[in-house]
Amino acid sequence: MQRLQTDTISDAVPDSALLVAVANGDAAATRVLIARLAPRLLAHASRVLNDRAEAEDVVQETLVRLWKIAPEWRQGEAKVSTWCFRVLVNLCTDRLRARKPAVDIDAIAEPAADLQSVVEKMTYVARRDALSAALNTLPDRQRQAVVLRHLEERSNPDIAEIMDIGVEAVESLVARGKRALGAALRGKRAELGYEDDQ
Amino acid sequence: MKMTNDTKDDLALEALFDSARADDPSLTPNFLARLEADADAAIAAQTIPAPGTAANPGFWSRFATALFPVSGLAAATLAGVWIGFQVPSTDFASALALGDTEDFDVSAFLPAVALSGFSDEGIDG
Repeated sequence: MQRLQTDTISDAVPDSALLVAVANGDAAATRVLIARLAPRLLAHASRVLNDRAEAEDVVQETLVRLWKIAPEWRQGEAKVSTWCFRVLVNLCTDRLRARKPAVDIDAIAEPAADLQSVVEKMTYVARRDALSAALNTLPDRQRQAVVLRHLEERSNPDIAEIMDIGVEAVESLVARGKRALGAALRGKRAELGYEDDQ
Repeated sequence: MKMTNDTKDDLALEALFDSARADDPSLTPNFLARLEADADAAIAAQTIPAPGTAANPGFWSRFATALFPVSGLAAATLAGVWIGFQVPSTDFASALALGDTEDFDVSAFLPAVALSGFSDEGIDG
């Protein structure tokens, strides 16, 4: 069988076509899919779980499931990346539920106490840590929706498919999540360099 | 014009989101190697012969083997021997049988018309 060469596979080749090649035993196609999917999956899992090792585990599990489903993949039913995010989001949810009970939205009306210690100076790292800490105060599904919408920049219909909910529910989760993040970070705008003499 | 808290929140959040998007975690060589090893293992698992192939015979193939537990060539040979023993006897076959050769001479295999021209009476006059 003719094998695809990793360095000659065009960006125009869709993920679904690569998955067909995977089902036919083409290892080069797996390399391209890993290069395309793994960074985005890892970014999402890292932000949601806030734990690099756990994030790597769920990405690994997601891709193992993708290779297994390859022979039965039905063209045109779903985008490969959407399918992967759906698996990943569920795996992240399982991990978060195993850690602790979900946080009530009312519990984050005020900035979290540990946010004070996280944000110590107006630096790039401080901003990243502040956002990470604030995201961690959100209930699981709000956190996943906000990360998918504003960090992965996925469309609301896409997020709806990933999270298996309606588009209106996505809009609601994202809006509530952003309000909660804003409230959590409000007292820190000056420290983060976003203060407000406009 | 004074901005509302919500507007300030949105601006600060957008700036934080921009920073975070630029700070995607990278794949470490170790992690990449794990992902590639998984993929290779999955590819190897997919190359295990499917049901019905020679290395993994399907139901009908196993059924036929149970009924005829010999190879095709051996089966054809045995079938030929069996047919040879089961064909009904003929005179020719009887002639070849041991103990019956005295009932025939060579004239039995020659045409009767041609023999008449070479009879003893014809030659002598």
